[in-house]
Amino acid sequence: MTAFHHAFSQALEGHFDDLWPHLDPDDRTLGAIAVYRNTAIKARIDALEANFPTVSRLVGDDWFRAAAREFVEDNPGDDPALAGFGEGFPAWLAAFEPALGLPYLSPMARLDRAWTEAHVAPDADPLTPARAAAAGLALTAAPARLHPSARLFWFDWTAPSLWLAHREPEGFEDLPWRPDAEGLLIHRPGAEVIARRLSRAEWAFLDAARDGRPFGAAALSARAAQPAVDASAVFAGLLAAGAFDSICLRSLKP
Amino acid sequence: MTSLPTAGVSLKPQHFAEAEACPAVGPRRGLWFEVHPENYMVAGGPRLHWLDRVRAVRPLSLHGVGLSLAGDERPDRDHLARFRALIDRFQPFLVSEHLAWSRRSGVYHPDLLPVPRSREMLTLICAHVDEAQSALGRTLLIENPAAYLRMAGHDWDEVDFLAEIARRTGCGLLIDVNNVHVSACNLGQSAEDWLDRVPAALVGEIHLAGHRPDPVWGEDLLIDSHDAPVSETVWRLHERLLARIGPRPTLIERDGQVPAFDRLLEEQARAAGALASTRTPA
Repeated sequence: MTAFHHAFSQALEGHFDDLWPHLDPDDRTLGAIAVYRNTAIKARIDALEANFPTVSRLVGDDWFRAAAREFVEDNPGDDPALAGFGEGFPAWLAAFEPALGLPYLSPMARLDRAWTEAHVAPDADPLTPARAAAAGLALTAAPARLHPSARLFWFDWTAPSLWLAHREPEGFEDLPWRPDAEGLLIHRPGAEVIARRLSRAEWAFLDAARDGRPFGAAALSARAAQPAVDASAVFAGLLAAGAFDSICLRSLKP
Repeated sequence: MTSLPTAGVSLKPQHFAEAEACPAVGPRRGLWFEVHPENYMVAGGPRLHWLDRVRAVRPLSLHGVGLSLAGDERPDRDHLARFRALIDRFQPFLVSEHLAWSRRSGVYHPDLLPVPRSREMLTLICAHVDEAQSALGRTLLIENPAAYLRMAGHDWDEVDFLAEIARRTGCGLLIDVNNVHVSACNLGQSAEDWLDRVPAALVGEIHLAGHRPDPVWGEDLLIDSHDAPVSETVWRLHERLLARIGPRPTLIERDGQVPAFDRLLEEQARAAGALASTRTPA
């Protein structure tokens, strides 16, 4: 390490003393250091804003950027690939004092984060209804695998509806915050990220699949969660949505 | 398919469809695109697929911002591996980075930070460029960043320092004419003198971009903001450089206040015109 890099890093955090001997100061020196500090902070805030659009829309630009500034000062990040910036933001928001009166914000941030993760997740071919049908009964015993982009959520209030309403600004007027349980699947089976509401049975099916349990066992979980449900219809619906990874077929004997 | 790359533009996700569809006629025959590889260091998804589609019809340049070649730590191996994977996938015709640093002690500063041009730094930077070139399997073009701060401890002038790095490592240079102008204004030097001294044989690419005055210091402190059209001063400096060294692939860089694709193409056409009317020196 060099003394210069150390001193400059300190200056970026607001401690200028060590940097002074490395400079040829004039009346603009503090202004010039501020350019570097501001550029780095602004780039981080911009990246966070791009990755949490629903949170930003709910609280407004000014509130979001002020909160983001506090977050990036504590969590500057170590990766130049800023598409993934802000992994810790949902948890940070939950403990952020000015947001304590806005308990829905951290859940919205979790869903925004899931959207980002689905967007950049590895490509994979979803299990299609045709291939599942071709596998026949053997599929029942095959361990299920969720599509690598799939992120699952179950809330005891209408967080998915609130999030969906603010992702698509048409349905804005009625803020649907009710104590009704709702589930959501965020995934990218094809070119685009899709958010799909889940019934209790669908969520139970996918939750079992997430644990790598066989399709048959996942169907039993669905029926346990919602006793009157037609488990094969639940499976067909999730299959059509592209929720599973076709890699699960590899465990079948030819 | 396409003719040789002439004038290009920074490619932004909101312009993917227009970029792919843009017909290769007139000044757009040599149109090419440049992206920051850091924005494509993802496992999968539509961003990479869009870039595949644009790459199928146009030349592409990868312009890194995160290798931290002037840092006091070795280039990050994971970062180099991800960069290499993008080079292998997209086969860019140019690969570039900056004479700057951005990573230290587990913190990434999304900025291009300066260093004193000392003998110690020369050795360090050349070692990092060597390591990066061998990991990436490509010759890099190194860009002059915008300077804001008068620093002590320079043993070299910037042009000589860049030329010496090129001599020792075999890298080429990416001359950002806007940065030359911004640095010259901020440090009270001559942009013309700087450009007149760059060894022509080293220049592999040119960048043009917009800048703006600092909100506090005004014209005494120019910011390399990339959020405005190229200024007339920078266009004149571009012509001056071309007249001496001949045509080079020239990029219109835009990162903020990104306008409609057609507006960027207007600047691209102007750059293509300047290149077309430039003769290769004998």
